[in-house]
Amino acid sequence: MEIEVQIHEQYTTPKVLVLTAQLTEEVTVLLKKLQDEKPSSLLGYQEDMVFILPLDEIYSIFAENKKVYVKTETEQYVLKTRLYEIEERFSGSSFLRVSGSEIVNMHHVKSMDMSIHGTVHLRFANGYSTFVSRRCIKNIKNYFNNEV
Amino acid sequence: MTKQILSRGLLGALIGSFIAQTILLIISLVWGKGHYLFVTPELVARFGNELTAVLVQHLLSLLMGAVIGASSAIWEIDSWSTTKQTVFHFIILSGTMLPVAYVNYWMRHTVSGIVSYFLIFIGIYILLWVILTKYWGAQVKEINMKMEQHQ
Repeated sequence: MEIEVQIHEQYTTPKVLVLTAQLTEEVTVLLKKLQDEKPSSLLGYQEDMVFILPLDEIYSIFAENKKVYVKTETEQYVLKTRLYEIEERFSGSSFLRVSGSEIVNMHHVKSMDMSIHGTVHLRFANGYSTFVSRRCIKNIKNYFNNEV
Repeated sequence: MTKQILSRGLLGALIGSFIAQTILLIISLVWGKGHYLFVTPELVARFGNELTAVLVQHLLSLLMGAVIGASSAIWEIDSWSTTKQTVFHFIILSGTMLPVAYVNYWMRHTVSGIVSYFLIFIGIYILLWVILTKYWGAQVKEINMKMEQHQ
């Protein structure tokens, strides 16, 4: 693997660009390593492409059909991490578990509402809305109690 | 879920049997004049002999305990709305309790007796639904206010 470092004034935050013909084991390991040192992002996969997703841009992380997905404002990616690992890693942050199959970034949540029949939903800035399990409501309340 | 329903049902049956025994003991202590009253004379008359009456009473207390215990698992199904949980719990409980109450003469065997028993049940569940909905509604409102302050 060639390693090249370029120094430009414009990069006030360093940027790592990986150029590769194929997503090999070596590259995946490298990306994982880069990510571990920089836990402010996650790796999202779309077909054969990998994207580094800054945590701020993530709306939701959810499990469906035994796969884990990441939702940003407009896109959806596959995540190669288990939901409980995400929960452990991000405990104490704005990422909260809201049901058995979903963790959301509270920063992007606009409001919470309850239907006439008593199901609770979270609404996001981009129009996305999701079901909240009643047993997770206490956590959400605690989050805001500590934040404000 | 199946495991939960079974374990809660079993525990409920044991608790049901225990409660029935305790009630019989208390009744005997208060009204028994030194005798243990394990079954009412009405029930003996209904089933012909003491043994059958006691057997029926025992089986019914097990059944009721099991149903009450098992159906409590409904409140654990968080993906169900409060309405759905309340309605299913109502159907299961009234479906068991009403026939049992009828057999045991806990209600009058007239149309008005059955209807009033049923209405009491419905009233309890409506109250339960209102309390649950108000409670979660208040929680949601509180969180919403905090979210607004936050933004």
